[in-house]
Amino acid sequence: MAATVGVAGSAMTRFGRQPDRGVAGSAMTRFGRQPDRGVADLAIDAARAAMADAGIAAEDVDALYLGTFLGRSLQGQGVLASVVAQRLGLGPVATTVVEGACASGGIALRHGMLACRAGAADVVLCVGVDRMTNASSGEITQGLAEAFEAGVDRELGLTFPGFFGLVASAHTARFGTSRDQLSAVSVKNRDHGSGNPDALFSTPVELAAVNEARPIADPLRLLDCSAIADGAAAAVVVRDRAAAPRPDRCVSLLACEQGSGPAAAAAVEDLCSFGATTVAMRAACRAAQIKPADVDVVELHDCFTIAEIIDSEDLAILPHGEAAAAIEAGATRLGGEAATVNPSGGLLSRGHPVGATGLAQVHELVAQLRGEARNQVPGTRVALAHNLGGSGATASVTVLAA
Amino acid sequence: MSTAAGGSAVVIAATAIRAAPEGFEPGYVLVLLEAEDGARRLARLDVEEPPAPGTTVAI
Repeated sequence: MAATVGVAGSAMTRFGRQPDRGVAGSAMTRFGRQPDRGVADLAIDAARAAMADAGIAAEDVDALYLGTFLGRSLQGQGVLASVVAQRLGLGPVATTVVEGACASGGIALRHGMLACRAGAADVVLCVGVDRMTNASSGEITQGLAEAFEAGVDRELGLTFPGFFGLVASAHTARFGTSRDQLSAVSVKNRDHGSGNPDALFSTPVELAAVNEARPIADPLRLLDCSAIADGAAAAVVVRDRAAAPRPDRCVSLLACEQGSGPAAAAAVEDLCSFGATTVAMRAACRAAQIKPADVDVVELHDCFTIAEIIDSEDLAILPHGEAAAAIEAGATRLGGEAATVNPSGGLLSRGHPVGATGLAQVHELVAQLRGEARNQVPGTRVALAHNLGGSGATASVTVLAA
Repeated sequence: MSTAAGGSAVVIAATAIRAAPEGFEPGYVLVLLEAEDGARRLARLDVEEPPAPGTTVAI
């Protein structure tokens, strides 16, 4: 047999300036009930606004990644990325739909970053969208339940409020998390979301109202839960920030990392932590060369009040087991002693058109880093977005910097 | 419990679904159980209120 000669490994330092990837522009539609806009219409509205914000023309876009979870099951629309690209006039560019349940938008951004990092594209349009309010509650529940592994939880009647009810039950048993502490998350985020013109709910709520709201899945009540909505958000990712049409408005995309985990309740090893988040956070900190303490502002996945408590711990924004008390004490409010969490109002205010949420988070953070946010956190230099899918089946963590 | 297999299990977490999806009557209780051999599973309990985590139930 002839010997095969190969190179098993090699290394060298790179020569020249490394491109600084960036988010050149972002936008979102209003989240809420939009009966006159189809799912493609919503995506196009957000995409056009993001391209205008970036100063990017249709012919500049090399690829489109579109995150949606319910585009097929509720709207009956496959190849949505191609539909959107054609209607935007992007030409025959590569188009891809990505799906990671409620983290679909964050994952779309990650794929845009990867394409730029690989040198396969200079400009990528990343869009997240879902349209939900035209469907019945049964159809929506069934569609969302597809984020559970088939053959186990769905058949027993587990819903996502039910899953996070189990999570809250476990967290309460381990850490003594109180009803008031859960409610404090909702009060904070609804306060941050007050006056947000893009949010489904733009009015504050009192603690007593959250405590006494209609029970949904013990111990969670109605105001512990984010609401379904129609909406889209978009971001333009560029390979080289310096080459963007408006470099002064382009923020650095330092990292966009991803983790995964179980899609069945019984397979979740620890209901008080989502492994997908911790894996993505560690990878993001490594890639961005930051520590959690460096983060000034966070948009995290508060699909339920208990999720914000656990996310804050998994992201190491607050100490493990102490987040509920710290949030109740105001640590993550605007002006609090820790990083500000969900200055937009989060999912609890904005609503949750699931595929759009991850990019709506990025839109808020771009505004924060430009110093143009409605609830501006003074001196923001480093911003972090966290997008969770399903029962922790997937998660993305994005680090942006001024 | 809705399924009987013998033995006992510890409740890891429990919830009562008060707003049920279509096809289900609201008010059912779901529990995450851990058996003596460490195996976990989700189950429905025929009870009014969810048991506290740490409770041992017969299965």
